[in-house]
Amino acid sequence: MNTPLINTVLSLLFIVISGFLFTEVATPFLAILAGLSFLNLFLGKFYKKLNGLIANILAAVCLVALFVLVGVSDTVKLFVSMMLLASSFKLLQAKTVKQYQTVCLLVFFNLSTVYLFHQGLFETLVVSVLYVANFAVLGYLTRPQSFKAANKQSFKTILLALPIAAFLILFLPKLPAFWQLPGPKLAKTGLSEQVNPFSIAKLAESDDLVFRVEQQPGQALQAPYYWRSLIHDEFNGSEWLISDILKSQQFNPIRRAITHNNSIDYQVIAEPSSSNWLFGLGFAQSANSDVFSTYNGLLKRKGNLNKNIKYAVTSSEATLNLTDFEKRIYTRLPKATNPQTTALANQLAAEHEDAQGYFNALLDYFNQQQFTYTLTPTPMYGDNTLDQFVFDTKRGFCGHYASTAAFMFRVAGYPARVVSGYLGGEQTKAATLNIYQYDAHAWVEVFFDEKWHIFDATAVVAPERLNGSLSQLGDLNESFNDNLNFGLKRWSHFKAINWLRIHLEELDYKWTNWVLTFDQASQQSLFDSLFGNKSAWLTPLIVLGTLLLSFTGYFFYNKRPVLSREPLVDDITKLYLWAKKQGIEPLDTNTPLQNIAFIKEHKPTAAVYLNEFEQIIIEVRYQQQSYTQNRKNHVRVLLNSLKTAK
Amino acid sequence: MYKRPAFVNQFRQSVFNKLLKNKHKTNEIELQHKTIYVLPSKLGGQFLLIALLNFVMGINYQNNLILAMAYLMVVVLVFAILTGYKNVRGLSVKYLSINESYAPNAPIARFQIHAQSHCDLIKLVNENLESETVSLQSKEKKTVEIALKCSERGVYGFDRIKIISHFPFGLVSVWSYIEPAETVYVYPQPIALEKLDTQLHDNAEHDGDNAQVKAGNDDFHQLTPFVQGTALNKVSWKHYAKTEQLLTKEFTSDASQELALNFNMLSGNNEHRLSQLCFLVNQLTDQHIAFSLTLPNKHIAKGQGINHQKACLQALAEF
Repeated sequence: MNTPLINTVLSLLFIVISGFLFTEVATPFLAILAGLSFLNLFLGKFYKKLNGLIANILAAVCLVALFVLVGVSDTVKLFVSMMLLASSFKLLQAKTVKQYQTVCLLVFFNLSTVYLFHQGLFETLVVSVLYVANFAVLGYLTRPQSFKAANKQSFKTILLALPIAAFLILFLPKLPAFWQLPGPKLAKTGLSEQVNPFSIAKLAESDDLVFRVEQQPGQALQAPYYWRSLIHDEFNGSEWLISDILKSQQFNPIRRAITHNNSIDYQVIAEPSSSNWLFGLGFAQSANSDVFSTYNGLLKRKGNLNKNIKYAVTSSEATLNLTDFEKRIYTRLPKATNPQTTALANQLAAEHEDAQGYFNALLDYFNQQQFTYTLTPTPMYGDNTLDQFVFDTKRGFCGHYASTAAFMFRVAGYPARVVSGYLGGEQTKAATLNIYQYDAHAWVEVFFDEKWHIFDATAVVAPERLNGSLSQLGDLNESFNDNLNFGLKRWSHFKAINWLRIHLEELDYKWTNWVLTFDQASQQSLFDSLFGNKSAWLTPLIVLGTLLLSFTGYFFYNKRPVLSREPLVDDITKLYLWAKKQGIEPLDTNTPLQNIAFIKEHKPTAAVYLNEFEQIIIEVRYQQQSYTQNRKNHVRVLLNSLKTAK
Repeated sequence: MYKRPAFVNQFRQSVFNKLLKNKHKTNEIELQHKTIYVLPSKLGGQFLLIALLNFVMGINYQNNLILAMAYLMVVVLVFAILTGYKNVRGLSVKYLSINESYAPNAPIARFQIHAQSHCDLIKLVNENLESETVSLQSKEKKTVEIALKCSERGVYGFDRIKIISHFPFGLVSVWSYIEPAETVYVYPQPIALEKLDTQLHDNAEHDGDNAQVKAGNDDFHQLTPFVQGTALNKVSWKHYAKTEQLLTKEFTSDASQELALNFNMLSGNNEHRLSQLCFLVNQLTDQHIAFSLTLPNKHIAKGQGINHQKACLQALAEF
């Protein structure tokens, strides 16, 4: 058994799997995992294994490191890291074929856990390659002849098995989760529950996809797209938060009559996320069983944050009345903060008596006072940050404007709240919008005339921002790109790279839409469209029939190639086949030379070629000369000449 | 180590016999669907367990990719079963021979494996004994040896030998049995006699002392080189004095009158006596001396040669 080879392959597998945890697990722990794999690589080269005592001490140290570095707060991550650690140690001590086989089995599990964190197309491809390699190791352990052949066999088997597995995914009825285990908490950037002017600036650095929107035919969405995600109703002097009252109302919604106008339907495909807030336009509602629709028109995920989710949304304009209690909530302010801004608001309110007038006056104020939109605002410290912003710096982005505007509405006594979410979306195909993290936005909703109205100072400060994604903004593009982390987006001004980016994006869209978000509901609609009302009995029939067919097909198709180690065997077989066609039966008991002599007797016209063939057989078989490419070609030519000769 | 109680083994044996219906009691077996048995191997079972874990994880997190991996593993296992079955189908195993074995060495049986088509990783297994693993090209024949379990003197039925392959991936066990209708003899361990005397001679009806006188005092026949075990009174001392060469006088009556090996004339327990007899049988056969063998339950008339030796040894084994 070639243990260094097996050790190397398995160690590399572990290194790649650990690499997948890079964003999720503390780096020092990953370093330990990588270190163990490299130790394996090193020891494997010299056919050595770790001494039992040292291994045990090392294992104890690593276990302590696991609990300290990974922690027990996220049980799934702890479990995944522990499995990986245990498998690495198993490999460190593996000596017999059986032990190596156990390591292989553990790798099958470790590989699946990668999908808890990543489900992208690229990651899937890499994991698939690792699967093939792992099967190859398993095959090689049973038949240690050639690792290349083992890889080939493994690849072939998986290639043939894949369509059947895909078929099973499509047609095997999807079971609901028996019991809900906690999912891993993903280390992903996203909106936070406090709007701090600086936090959204962070999001502008990320070009991660947040969600996609599929528009329905005939129901095109109208820009600007304000994708609502969270409502912040409490101002603490510097930050906007979600108050406990609002949180409790998620469970105890206020009942009231809401009239819905201008309803529009579309689908959203949300990426895995670290928080469970989803996205919708206006007053959004969803019938999806995994989505919770709140009473104020927001959408929330019920679980499974680590996976893509596709849900249908109905958005509408809601007409409603606020209760007095709500009015109080939405006009609450901390006492005696930001005196200058308060004074300004009172002054404007005195000039404009009605809500719409005040609304416009505020917009005009931001428009006329040389406020600028920037992704790199001047840092502000201390109390009364709003005063500093309004009267000193006048440079900021959505967070600043929203905070200030909502504050000023409340000073004037109008119910107002800050809403955070995303603004815009990149049109990829005719009907699809992509929304990235850098589209994160915050704005104000102010209540008058039985409606919540969107007030967005960005509309006047940087009007282009309303109609496109941040990436498409001319002036800001440069600072936007400078701000952005490494990613293809950053180089999208190169045509070739942009072309590549768009196609990869489209591929990823299809992957997400067809594979990742395929759930019980999509399966049911597939069954309905295929079999109609007969699906109850037709589905099991089709599943069984297809399985039976494909396994039978495999059984008959699966002719294993006969590897002939002896040179010239195949060629001599071909020669005999030809002879048989000519009506000459070579005997199995004869040597090839005897048979050739026999054929020559019956077919003197072919003697020229047969003599040459004979010569090569003598050279290769009897004089032990090597069967070179030259000779191979020669033999091929001879066989062809024989076939064409009359 | 834990040892199964005997009745479990007996029960197992009877169930096996019932299930196998003597299908495998031949000296040559061709593996066809009636005689091939396929199950996931131990590794295959663990593999399925991992697939099940993946399945539960996939269901729990509603993760299609993990589910796909679980399904993929199961499909590969089914493929492995089909491939494994196809691998051994058409293989024929033929009992060739068994070597002579003396306790405490177990006999070694030789089988010829003949593959119809390419066939991977075949081995013979006899409970915990294993043969080498061989792979055969199409139409290739290979001889494989395997030790039998019996190592104590006696007569045994042939062990049921398992023909097994774990190809591919080691995930499946595809196996069959062959149980040649042959009797296996394990001869006693040969032990040299400490005391060489003439007790061996056929003198059961006399007392030992008289026998020495009686034995072959007829006409002088020839001189043969001395071999151990010959009575000293037959040595031609005259010759020895002249040439220092030990020669034995052979009398016509010696040549005609057999050496008689008798179980009762030897000392020690049964096994010891049988061992001594075994030694003598081999010695005499090597020296081309005819002899008869008397056991309490059997008498083998005077004879000589390989067949005679075999008959005697088998009688000793059967005792």
